[in-house]
Amino acid sequence: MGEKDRAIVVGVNCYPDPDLGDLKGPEDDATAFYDWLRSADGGNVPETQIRKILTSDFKDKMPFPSVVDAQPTTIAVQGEFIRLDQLVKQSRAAGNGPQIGDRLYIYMAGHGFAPSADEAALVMANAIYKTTLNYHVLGKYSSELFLNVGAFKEILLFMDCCRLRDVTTYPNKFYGMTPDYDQEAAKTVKAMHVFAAGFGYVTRETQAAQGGRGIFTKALLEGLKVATDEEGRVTTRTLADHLYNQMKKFMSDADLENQTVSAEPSIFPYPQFPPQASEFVITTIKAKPQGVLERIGQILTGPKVQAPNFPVVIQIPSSLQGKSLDLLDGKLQPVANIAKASAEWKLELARGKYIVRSDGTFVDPTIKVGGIEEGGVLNVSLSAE
Amino acid sequence: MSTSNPAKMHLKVKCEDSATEIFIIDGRFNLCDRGIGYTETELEPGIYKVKVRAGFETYEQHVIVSDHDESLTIPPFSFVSPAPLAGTAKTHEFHMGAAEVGSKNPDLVKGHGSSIFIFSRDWTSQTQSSAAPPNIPNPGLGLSLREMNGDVIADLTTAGKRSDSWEPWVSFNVELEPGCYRLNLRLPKGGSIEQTLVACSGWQTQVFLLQSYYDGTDADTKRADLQGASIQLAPLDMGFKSDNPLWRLSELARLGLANERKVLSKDLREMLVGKFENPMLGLYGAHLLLLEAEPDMKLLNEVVDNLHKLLPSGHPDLDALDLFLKRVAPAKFEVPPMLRKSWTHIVNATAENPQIVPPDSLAAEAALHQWGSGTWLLWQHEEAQASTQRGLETIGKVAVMLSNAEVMLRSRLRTATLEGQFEKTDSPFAAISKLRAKRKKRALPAAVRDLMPPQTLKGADPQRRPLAQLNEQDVNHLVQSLCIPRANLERIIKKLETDTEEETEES
Repeated sequence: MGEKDRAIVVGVNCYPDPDLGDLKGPEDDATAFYDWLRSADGGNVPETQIRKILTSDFKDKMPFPSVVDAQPTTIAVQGEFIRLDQLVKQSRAAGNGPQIGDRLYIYMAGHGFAPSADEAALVMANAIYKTTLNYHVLGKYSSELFLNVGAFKEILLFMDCCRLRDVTTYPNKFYGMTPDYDQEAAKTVKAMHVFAAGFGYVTRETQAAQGGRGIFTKALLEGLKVATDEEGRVTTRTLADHLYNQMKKFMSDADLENQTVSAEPSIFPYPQFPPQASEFVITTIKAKPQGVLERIGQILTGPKVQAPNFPVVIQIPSSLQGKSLDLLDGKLQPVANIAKASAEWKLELARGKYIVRSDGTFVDPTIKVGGIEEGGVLNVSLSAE
Repeated sequence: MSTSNPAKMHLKVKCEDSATEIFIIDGRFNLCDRGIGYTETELEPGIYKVKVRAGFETYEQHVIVSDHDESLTIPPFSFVSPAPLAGTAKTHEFHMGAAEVGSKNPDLVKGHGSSIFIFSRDWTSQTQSSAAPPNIPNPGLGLSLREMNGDVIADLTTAGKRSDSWEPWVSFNVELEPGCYRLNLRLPKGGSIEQTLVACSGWQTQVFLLQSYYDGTDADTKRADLQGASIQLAPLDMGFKSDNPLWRLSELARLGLANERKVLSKDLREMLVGKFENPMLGLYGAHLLLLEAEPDMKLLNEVVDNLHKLLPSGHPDLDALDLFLKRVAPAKFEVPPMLRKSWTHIVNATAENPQIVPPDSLAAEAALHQWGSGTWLLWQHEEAQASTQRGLETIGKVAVMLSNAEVMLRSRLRTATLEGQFEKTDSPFAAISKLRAKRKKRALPAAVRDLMPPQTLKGADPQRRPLAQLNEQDVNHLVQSLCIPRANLERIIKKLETDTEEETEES
């Protein structure tokens, strides 16, 4: 899996226009996503099939003498889409149809805005907020250039950008790349467009102490590693659910209260109807072998796919200590029991929701095991009442 | 020990605001059901999260479904609205009172038959701080109501009733003739933006505005938030009522449209079928219907029929729906509609009938200088066009100041390759073909040249289609993707041809 995939990854940190200002995280975020694409446990995409464009690619020209000289520009990114388009044309000319790969990943991080409710634009380094915001790259539009001709079986678009609205510029659509739409081939394509923020909202970077990284990309990379179904598969649906539920975990209290900061992403599956028609498997999580026998088994039969477990510590109030407690999963099935509870109950649990029951009564709160916690362990305190 | 095939229970979720989205998420974070206003679903025992969304606000609650049916009622929750409605997040009782009084007491009489009421306010917090307040902004600063010819009817910087204390407000009520008017906002750093306001016979058009930052986040850049305006139509003598449930529903419909959410609940549909009292609810409802995967065209036609009965004096947004439904519609749209979605239908129709939007009309002018991307169609007024938001392009040795639309068209032409034969025609597209054939001989910019496969530089691909042979599908595509009326598009192309021929002569 991955050998026939392609990717375009963009991270823009440096924006000389003072009305835009530099960012800390996009380049690191783009690099982290690139690392996932390259890893055998992740995307497993060959290096020659990934085009990466970062601010640091132009470090020999920095500091940029002026905004006009800043890189990367629109043409650097659009050029990569044009390259792919040329491959589509060559494939067609050779009589092989428009498909040039299995999956296309598009990842972009930097300043952004939203020309419409279902689109996001990455602002390029040489943009001037007040006059040349037309120096941007559209995410959905770029994805649809390949979706509409069936160039790939699957397309994933991730954009870690703000989605401010009401910025005055026309969307920059570089028409002319693929004017012929293969309607029938397009029907076979599945895609998911994921934007870090809701329409009109901003997204945030974490505090410097936490790496100054985009909260969306943090949630995305976590989801790609842990958001599995019961069979260990990360699908577009499980990833979407993870992002909706987990992104807020990386936000500060101040940002959670700020009504302009998006606590959830915007996600657009294709096809839109029926909902299950757009779902596909992104990756599978392989269980780490426990012991020599399992290692040998995996060598012989291949790695086992399994949903990962996460360490949880439940703090038991004194009113419940000494009692028998059951832990029930999201289907209210008992998964663990402790005959005489002490102050702490340590467990390893799969992703999902759980509830403690004592003497037939449910004890708040609902325990949500969503992914990898700060410090590596989820701590939950049960209600004393 | 797990139980196989556990008995399913019913979970009913009812929202007191019917235009509220409901999501039911299971214990593995999977979305298992959704609804609008009300949903009843069969679920296996488990831990579920019920999430509801109204406007931009969400609310979550866990529910455990075990061995009996469960029922949940979600009370109305405080979404944000510029209209000072009871039970919304950003309002004060004194705002409600001022709006109710102002809407019934005209400040100016310019005509009869209709009325426009504008209420602009600032909201910063639920309670007043004991510290000395910073400078109190003027929520009417730079805001004016104008005739279609641009004459000022009232400048809310000073006109109307107002309060200059904490959480200031400005209200202005004018009786006037039914027709189209312009709401204009002067921007902090120069220029202005505008939108159409329609005054309908027998109705008061009520416009409610909060404040927003323009061109920065300094306090002196705060102005009325036109893009987020709440606009309703009330019978002439009714005025504004802060506790009117229909106004609340209409506002939720507007927010749903603004967020492109499908919020047409069963209740709202029934209301659209029957007689609804607020024509704006009908207009919002019509566009919400069109958001659905398979719009109910029968219901849409019924809604439009109802709207014609409520608005016999006409309305450009209603005309746009008639155009979309291929009913009898005006031959021309000289005035831009209020809703951006209405504008999309009008522009799309120009692909086949360019005369629908006359090239020298206000509607055509607005098309080239659209501002923002929300519910309302806003455009930059002419003095703004000269100074802000222009794309700067250098072509050859000539630096040309162009409107944003021209910049994008140039961007498209630059990446389109043109080889092969073309025939001389009168079409502006053919004219572009000619100029591209001339440019072929000049050196292309290195950045573009490097991206072209060798064969496009060296020789013609006989299969490649020149721009001169653009068919109607291509024209439609350009009109729709640029969202520019066809007549304007052809003018831009002609201008580009002229500019480029001059460059060729100079070089």
